[in-house]
Amino acid sequence: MEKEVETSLFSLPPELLCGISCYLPGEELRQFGTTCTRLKTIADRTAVGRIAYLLRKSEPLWARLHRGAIRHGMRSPTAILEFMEGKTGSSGYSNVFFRKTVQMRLAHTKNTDPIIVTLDTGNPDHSVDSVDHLEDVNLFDSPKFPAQIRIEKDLAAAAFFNRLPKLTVYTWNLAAEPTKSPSSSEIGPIWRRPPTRTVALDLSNFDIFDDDIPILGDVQICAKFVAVYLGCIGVVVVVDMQRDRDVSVKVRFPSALFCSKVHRTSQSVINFRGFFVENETHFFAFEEADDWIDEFTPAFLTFYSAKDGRQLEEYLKIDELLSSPHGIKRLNDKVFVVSEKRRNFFHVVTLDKESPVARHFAFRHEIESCMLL
Amino acid sequence: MPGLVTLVSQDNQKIEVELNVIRQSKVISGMLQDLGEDEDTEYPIPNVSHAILKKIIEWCEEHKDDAPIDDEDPNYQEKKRTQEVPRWDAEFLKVDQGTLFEIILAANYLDIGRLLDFACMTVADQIRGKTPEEIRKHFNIKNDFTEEEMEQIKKENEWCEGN
Repeated sequence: MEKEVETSLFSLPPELLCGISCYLPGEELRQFGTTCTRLKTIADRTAVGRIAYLLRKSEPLWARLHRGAIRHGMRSPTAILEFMEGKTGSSGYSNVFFRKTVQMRLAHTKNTDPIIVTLDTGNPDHSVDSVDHLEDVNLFDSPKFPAQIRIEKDLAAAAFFNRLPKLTVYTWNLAAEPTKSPSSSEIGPIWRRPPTRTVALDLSNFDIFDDDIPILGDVQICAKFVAVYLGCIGVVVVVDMQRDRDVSVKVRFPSALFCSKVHRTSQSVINFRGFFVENETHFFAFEEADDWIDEFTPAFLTFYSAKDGRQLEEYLKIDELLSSPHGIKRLNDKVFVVSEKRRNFFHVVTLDKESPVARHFAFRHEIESCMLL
Repeated sequence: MPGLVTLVSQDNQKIEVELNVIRQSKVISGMLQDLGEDEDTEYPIPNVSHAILKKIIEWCEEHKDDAPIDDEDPNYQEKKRTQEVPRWDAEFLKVDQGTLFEIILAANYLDIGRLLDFACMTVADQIRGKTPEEIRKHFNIKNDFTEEEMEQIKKENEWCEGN
């Protein structure tokens, strides 16, 4: 007698397995796809279809969540879908509309618990904590040298003297997936992000102890370039990470004018506020003091450029200061500078032009909303 | 008796069923149109066993007064993913796994959309809330991932698991 073969899950054709999996929310779909290779294919195919369906919807939320998933380092379709749909808990998939509402609220208010990711230097002696606050961080008890940290869209960078006179610049690719730390805090698991590139600069040929404590200027990021201003020697170091496998470091030495500002008073160039790359030309924005008035108080905003040569040449000088350290933003080939004197004014600086006309736009409350002076 | 048709199952057993009941199957409905609604004609259903065909007819009898569904309607597609299996259907589909999969195959073959949806939802309910290991055990699935693949999956999902 022929033995009857019991119908199993795999008796169902792939389209029916997809039909079943389409009732599973992202998290359950991911678990389903982790059982075996065939079901992983089914789960991935279902997730891709559903992501495409969600992205076709007119709600911008889904596109935003999709970008968020990619930015958080998720690469598998089910993981991306899980992130987009949010976690279901035990409520089941029947509450999809409810969950969408919750997810939308979370996306708008960002009231979820913060995810802690430590930018790990890979060296137990050096740690860069409190990166969420973007403040100077003291690395050693004695002496204390501040680390300069900058976080941009896909790149984070930190620079500090880890062993005088050696400066180290660490960079982290924020688009990559972090690794989970075995130790966890009360808030939840801690994720570690190892450095992508580390550049050590030996400054032993320079007198960096001019003011007892070496002055380390700000770190600025533009696309895949990191610029570090070394106030102690008036040099800007540009780390070029455009190529995947190697790092190129360019040292921008000062011109005679810049040099005089740095060395005559040591304080004429005060703050490094902006760094922009346009058509292979590097632009640096510094707040400078007016030596005739007060050599320690910033009074001007000066743009320097460095193209083929290595020297920084003055490009544009504005009799203004920024309304805040963040009052300088770039949009395409233009840089917008918010005035400190009059907050309703901002300058538009066109980069890489023979005549970088700085134009003032004034927003006024009366009749006209914008006026070109 | 007027309005009856005879279906012949895979195992050559005959079942008489009312026309208005079995019309929920788009396949049989199409056959009736093609071959004519003749009481003497026997309609072969070669892919469905007698036991499963009886179950299908039982379901169709319960749902004979339901409004037809529009598969093309995007609202329906969205709605069906969010609805729950009605109580009667949930009870009806409380069968062993083999029978449930047979019902799915039969509903798919006979093109009975709503039954197919409810049966798939029932299987999805059995998957929900389970770990991969529990799913494997429940459906008797062999884990055929290599160690490298498992490691890769673990890495891919680590970020999700941690949050």
